[in-house]
Amino acid sequence: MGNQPVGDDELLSLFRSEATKERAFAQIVDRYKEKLYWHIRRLVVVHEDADDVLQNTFIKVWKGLNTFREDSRLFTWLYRIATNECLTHLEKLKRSRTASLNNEESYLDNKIRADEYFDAGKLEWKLQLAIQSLPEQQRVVFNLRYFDEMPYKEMSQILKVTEGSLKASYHHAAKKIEDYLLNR
Amino acid sequence: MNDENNISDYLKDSPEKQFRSLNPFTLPEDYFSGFNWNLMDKISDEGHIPDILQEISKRTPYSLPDGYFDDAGLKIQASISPKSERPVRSLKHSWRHLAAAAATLGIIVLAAVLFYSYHNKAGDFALQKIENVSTERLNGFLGNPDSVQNGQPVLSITKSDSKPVDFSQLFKKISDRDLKSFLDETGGNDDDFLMN
Repeated sequence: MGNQPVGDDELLSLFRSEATKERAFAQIVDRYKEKLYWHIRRLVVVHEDADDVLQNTFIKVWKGLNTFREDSRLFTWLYRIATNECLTHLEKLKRSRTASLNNEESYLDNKIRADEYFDAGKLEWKLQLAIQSLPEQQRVVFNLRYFDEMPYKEMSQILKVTEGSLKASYHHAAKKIEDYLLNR
Repeated sequence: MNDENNISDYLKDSPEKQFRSLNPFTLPEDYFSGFNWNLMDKISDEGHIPDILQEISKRTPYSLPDGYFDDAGLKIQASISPKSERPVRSLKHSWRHLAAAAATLGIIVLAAVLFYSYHNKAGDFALQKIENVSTERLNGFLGNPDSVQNGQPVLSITKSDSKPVDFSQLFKKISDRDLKSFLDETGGNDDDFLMN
């Protein structure tokens, strides 16, 4: 593959050949691991959980990439898997929190405050707390739109929700965040 | 007359057909249903991002272990290479592992057998030598000051033909060094055996 950066399409065809499969996969991991990590981390908050979810995501990519139909961009497909893995993780968390009479929001809120760099006076941290106060779908939509600047069309492919709903979700989320940042 | 006919034909058509004949242009299927959202999207893109968010860096502030992304790639590579992803192992490789395990086990068993037989042999040899020592000398040895506890001999012995003496039990409390020096004095200087 040389040192020339190759496009996603070429990586996909290299992945489908046994001889170049692992090298192509290594390049996919290198290309997307950071973006996916931060997307995951913003949703699950705890580094160790984000690391687990990231690994699970790439294991699923490895197993499923041969069947990827290329209806969407590779990047969109990766985000879809990562988002689903996050939601599964959060669902498990919610179940265990319900069992221990604690709710997910305050659990993640506490985890944010436990970060070694946490500074309640900084707006970046306050924004993270505000995001955690949102319902799950609004949280995902806000993160994809605000941090990843993802177009609604791609978000619609990831979340399997109409663009109209996504726009409404983002609108409500942005309002709530503004309210949180200004009034708390 | 012709115009009159056209108008009356037109009025007989369904409202949809009337609408189509007046507006022949095509539209995207969900244009009107999505119009509000598209409009809101434009508004939110231009002005509905709260002002306060404009002041905040988009950098995620969470802490991250040093060199995490360098290790993450390697960890992921390692995790996608489980046995299930590999071709089934050939019989040749299985036999090689089996043979290595069998050889290791054989060496362990052989070492245990040699160790056991060597020590038994040494013990038997010592007992054989004791058989040749007279009862008086043995009693003298067992009753010597080194073998006395609380003023009484630890052991004493009476050899008879009816009941064989169990020397291994008898010398249990005598140290190997004492027994060896006693046998050296009484049975010559054979240093080939070990007393354990």
